[in-house]
Amino acid sequence: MTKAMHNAVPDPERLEFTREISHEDSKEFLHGMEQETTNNTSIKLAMAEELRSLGLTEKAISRQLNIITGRTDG
Amino acid sequence: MKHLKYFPTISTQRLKHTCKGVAALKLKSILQGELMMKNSSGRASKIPALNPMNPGVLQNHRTAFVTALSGLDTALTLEIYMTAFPSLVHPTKNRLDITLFICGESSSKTQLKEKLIAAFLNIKPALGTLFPEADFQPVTQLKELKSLRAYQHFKYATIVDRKFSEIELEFPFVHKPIGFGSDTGEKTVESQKNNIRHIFQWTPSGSDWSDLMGMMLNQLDANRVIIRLNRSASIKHAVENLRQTVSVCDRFLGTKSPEGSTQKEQAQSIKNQALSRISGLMTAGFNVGVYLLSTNPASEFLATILACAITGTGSNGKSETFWEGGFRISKTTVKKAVDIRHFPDETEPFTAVEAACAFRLPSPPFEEIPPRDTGEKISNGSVNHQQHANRRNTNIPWRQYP
Repeated sequence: MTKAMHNAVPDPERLEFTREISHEDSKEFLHGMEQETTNNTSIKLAMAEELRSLGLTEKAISRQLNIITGRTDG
Repeated sequence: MKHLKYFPTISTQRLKHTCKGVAALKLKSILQGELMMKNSSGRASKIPALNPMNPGVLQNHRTAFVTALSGLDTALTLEIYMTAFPSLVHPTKNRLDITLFICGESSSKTQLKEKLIAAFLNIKPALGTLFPEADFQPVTQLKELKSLRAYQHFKYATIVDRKFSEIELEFPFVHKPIGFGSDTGEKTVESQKNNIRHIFQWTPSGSDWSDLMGMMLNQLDANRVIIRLNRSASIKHAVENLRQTVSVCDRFLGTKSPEGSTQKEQAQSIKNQALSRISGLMTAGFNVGVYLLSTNPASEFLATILACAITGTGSNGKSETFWEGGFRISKTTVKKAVDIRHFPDETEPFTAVEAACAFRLPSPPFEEIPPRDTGEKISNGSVNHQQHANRRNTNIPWRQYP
């Protein structure tokens, strides 16, 4: 086995460790994302209300804020 | 607690065939230059590019902002209003309002409103990033918006525009047989003249606009500077004209006449200017209008100060700058000056670099100002400071803390 080949062989312990960490990380990351999305959505909904009072259509609000307002025009 | 609104209010006006609308962002405060330096990570560095108060760095930000505006909807126009309200009785109560308006015209009211909001959503982060010293807040009250647009008490309007001239390049006489003369062996001597319409591009003045603001506040009555910008639709045509100019200059430079070396030098300089404009217009092209509104006719001096705050005058004695800079001042009507679609010359678009000379904000004040707390708190918590000792005070709320 050459030195390069030796380096290419993965260390099972190290892999396991990496997998565990990344799993935890991704869980936390997803949780953070969810939390952030919820926070952003609640702010965006308040913004949508403002835009509604300015006379923008529901379609325009959805387009500009990138949210589903749950309402329809007209 | 008062609910802070995120979006500006929109004022619309239905006309015969179209609908006009406007929204605004008002400058609430501006950070002092001294503090901008203190809060900069590059404060200890001797590299000029890391100094946030370096005029070159400030100008780069202005150019970046205007370049970003090349994505602006063609139905929209942006305007900066700088209005001075001098107080003769109490000079300390002088006031200067700076507002950025997003204006537009469309056949559909709902479409127009969406365009204005879309522009606001794009402009707000750009302002915050490229002008961190300026705190812009949306104007949320219709009454305030209308009062900011009011212009009825202004009687005179002046335009500040770029200089242009018809330049005749000297060209050797050519002998060309034409018409009946050629048949009889007679030759007609024709003088072929090459005329070029040259626009003197605006170049950054390097001014922080403190002189301009001081001059505006030292007038007897209220006065207003309007700087208008929108995307140009005649870039292709302008580039074509410039290519023609380059080719005329090339032809002139290609002649082997030993005379006229000065003319050749000038032709080379004009050609370089034309090439630089072509290059700039290939990125983006804008219509720009700069107007001064006043209540008395003696505004010529103020207009000149405004023009000098916008562009270099090209009179520094260097041959390279002979064909750039400078300005032209002319009269117009107030009605035209406040019309959002009015521009002095729509056939000659401005490059982003040129437009950024005018479509900008004053630099953060960079004087050693002894802060004097007047005790007068402004709505956003900022404090008025005494300005330079020999200058009248303005009540632009210079921000004490970032």
